[in-house]
Amino acid sequence: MIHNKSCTTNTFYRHLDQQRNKAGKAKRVLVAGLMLTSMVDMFSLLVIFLLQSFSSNPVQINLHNKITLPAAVSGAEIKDTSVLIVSDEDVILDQKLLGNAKDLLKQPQPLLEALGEIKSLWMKAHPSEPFKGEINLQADRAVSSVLVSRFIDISMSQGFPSIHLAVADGNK
Amino acid sequence: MASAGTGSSGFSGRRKSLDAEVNLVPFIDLLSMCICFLLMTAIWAEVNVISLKQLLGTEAVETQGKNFEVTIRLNGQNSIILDISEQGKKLNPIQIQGETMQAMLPQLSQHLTTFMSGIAAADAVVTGRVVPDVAVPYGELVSVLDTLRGNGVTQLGVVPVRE
Repeated sequence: MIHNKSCTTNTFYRHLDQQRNKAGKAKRVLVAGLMLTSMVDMFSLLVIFLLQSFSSNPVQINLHNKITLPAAVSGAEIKDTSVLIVSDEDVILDQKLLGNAKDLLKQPQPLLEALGEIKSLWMKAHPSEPFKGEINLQADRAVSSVLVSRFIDISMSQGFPSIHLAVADGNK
Repeated sequence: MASAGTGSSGFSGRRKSLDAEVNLVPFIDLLSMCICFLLMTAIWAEVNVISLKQLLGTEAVETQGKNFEVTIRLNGQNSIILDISEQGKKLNPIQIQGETMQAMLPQLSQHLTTFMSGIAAADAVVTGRVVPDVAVPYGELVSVLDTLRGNGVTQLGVVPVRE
C-alpha cells in the first residue's frame, strides 16, 4: 500500500512529518567532558620551573641588546648604581648616548661632564654621606681590553674608584 | 564541571558511590596565579659583577699587614707573565704559554693556588693587577680577573694601557 506520506506534497503535511521525525530521535547531550589531568600536570611543571628562576633581588640591570657579556664564575651580587655601556660603536651612560668609543677617547669631555653631573647630583641628594664612587660597566666581550681599560681609567680619574664589571653568571 | 574521579560507580542504581570527586577548579586558578606572578618576577639572564678598585693614587684604600702584589701581563693570546712581589720585593716571574687563553687559565690558577697556600700571615693583603693587551679581547680579560678572584685575590685592578 502506498504510504500517505509519499503522496502528500502539501507543505503543511511535510512540516508535520518533519516534526514527527524529530520527536522520534534521541536527545543529544551537548556538554563534552574535558580531560584536565594533563593541563594540571603542565601547570605544575611550569610553576616548579619558574620557582627555580625566581629572584627577590630588587636590583635589575637592563642589558643592551648589542652587547654579549663575558661569563664569570666568581661574580658578586649586582649593585644599583649608574651604568656605563661600552661597545665598539657607542658609549652610553645611564641611557644617554655619549658618542663613538674611539672619538670619546680622543675627546672625552662629554663623558667627563656626564660623570661629574652624576657625582654632583648624588652629593646633593646625600649631603651627609661620603660619595662611594661606584659605577657598573657593561662591555661586549669582543671589545678590545685596552679600550675598556681606558674607560675604567677615565671613570676612576673622575672620582669613581669602584668599578663593577657586569658579567654573565658562568655557573649556569 | 572540572573534577577528578574514577568514573566507575559500580551498581549506580543500587549502591552509593564511594569515590570522592575532587574539585580542581580552585587548584587550577591557584596555579594560574602562581604562574602569572612567577613569570613577572623570573630572571632569565643572571648578571653578576666583578669589582675593581683603584689600587694607586689618593682614592686607593690603605692596607695594613703584609702586602703581596700579583701582576698578570697579557702578551697577546698565547702568553701570560705572572709577576709576584712581596713587600715590594719581586720574585722570579713565571711565564705561561698556550694556544689560547682558555688553555692557559688552568695553569695560571694552579700557580695562584700554590702561591696563596704559601701565605701564612692572616692579615696579608694580596692585590691583583692585570695589564691588558691590544690583541686580547675584554672577555678574556674578565676570565683572568675571574681566575684571580676564584683563587682568593679580591683586591683587583686593571692597569690602563694606551694603544
